[in-house]
Amino acid sequence: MSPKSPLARGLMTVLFALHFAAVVAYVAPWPDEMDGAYQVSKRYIQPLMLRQKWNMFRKPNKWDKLLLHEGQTSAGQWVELMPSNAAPEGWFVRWSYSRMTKVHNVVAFEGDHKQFTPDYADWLCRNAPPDVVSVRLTKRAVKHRSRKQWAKEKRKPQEIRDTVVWEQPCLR
Amino acid sequence: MSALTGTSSVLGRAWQGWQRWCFGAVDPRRLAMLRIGWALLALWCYLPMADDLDWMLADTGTYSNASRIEDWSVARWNVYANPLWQITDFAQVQAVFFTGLALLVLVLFGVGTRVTFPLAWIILLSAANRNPVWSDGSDAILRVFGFYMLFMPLGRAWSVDAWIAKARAWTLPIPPKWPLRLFQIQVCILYVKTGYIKILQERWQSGEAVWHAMNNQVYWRFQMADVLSLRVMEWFCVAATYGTLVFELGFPLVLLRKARPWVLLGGLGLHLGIWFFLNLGGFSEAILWTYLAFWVPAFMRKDASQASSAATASSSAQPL
Repeated sequence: MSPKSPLARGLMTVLFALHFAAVVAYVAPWPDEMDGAYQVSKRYIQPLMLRQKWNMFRKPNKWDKLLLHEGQTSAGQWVELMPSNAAPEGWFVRWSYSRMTKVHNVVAFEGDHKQFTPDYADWLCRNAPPDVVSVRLTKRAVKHRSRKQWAKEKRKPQEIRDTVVWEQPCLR
Repeated sequence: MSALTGTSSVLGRAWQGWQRWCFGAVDPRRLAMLRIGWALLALWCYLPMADDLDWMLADTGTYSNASRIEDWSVARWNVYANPLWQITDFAQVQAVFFTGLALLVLVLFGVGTRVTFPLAWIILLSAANRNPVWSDGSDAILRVFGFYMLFMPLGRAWSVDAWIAKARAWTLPIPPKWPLRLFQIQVCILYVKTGYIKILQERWQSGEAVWHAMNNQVYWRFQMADVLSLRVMEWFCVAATYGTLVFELGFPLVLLRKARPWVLLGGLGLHLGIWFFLNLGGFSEAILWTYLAFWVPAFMRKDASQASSAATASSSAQPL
């Protein structure tokens, strides 16, 4: 349906302007003192399911953040429960994309959805081998090399920092 | 309003131009391109999830019901968008998911589009709301741009709906342009927002952002060690960093007819480059799909020029 009368077109134009003002207010990187604009726009944008950020590599990290999934057996040994999202050694091609990549990022970056991490650890416990008595999630930060380092030190291990993000016993 | 309708003033001319730009008619095949692209993209992104429904969407999966409700406190009451929240049985989750896939196939072929498209859209965003943690940029594009498509008559061409209408000799009005314009403005907001937020960041200002993006082994499409050691990468990454900023901030030029092919070609190069080096799920495909809103194929331009030369002066419709 396209409005014919100038009045209807004018009203629709106002509606469009208000809509996009709300979208811009929602996505704009406001300073703290302007948070009110975001809060107001949120009341319109979120119920319409128009949540959006469009950050797209806004701040590429100098470190990769990988997530290690480990379980401790009743014998006290630590075993890997799931491979991390690190690149495999040697030649490979990733044709398909695993949605688990995003899940690992959410836990490793400890950003939004903080309540997700304990749920994720519970799920790991439920799916771990029966002799696993506790699980541990570790953020592994791997420092990026420079171009010269890639050329000269390709085989040398990169700088690594491990931080435990979450650890819990598995209640079965 | 009457003061604006006069063509003598600058404001009046601007108002007339706006009306032509926003409230004219659009070739229904352009909307059909968007519909077919949306359905293919959604199938591309969601079909592989069939094997992972247990951890992604089941109550015994990676996200508990309690966390879900706490996380999406605003969306919780938005029942129209969250039918999956009412479901706890995994068999029902599977049934809703596969119903969603079937609806996507119906949208692809344009069957009952006025009903099937909104239903498919609701199931897609409901799945993402049930466990927002796996949801990424491609889902956001399908959801946000799908919203604008709710206002488009998507089944008027290249569809079973159009075939039925033709067989029954129904006369359907030419689709309005304004939903497509809203879609286009949203694409511009997407790019300008991301360009603006990047230009404030030190790593984009210093020209090293693309280097760090390409070093992110989590997203490597293939083994990049040899590529990153090439001398050419030093200037390539700096050029790509600044080129990306110029492209993203300049994207609204796509609204100008003469600049449009160059802007779209620039975007095609940027996103195919990202696709080649980095596996970001369906994001590159999704963003390139939005370009269909700006692209008018040559055969449509030819049809439009033939129609306009044959049309009488009384016709106000400008299908492109």
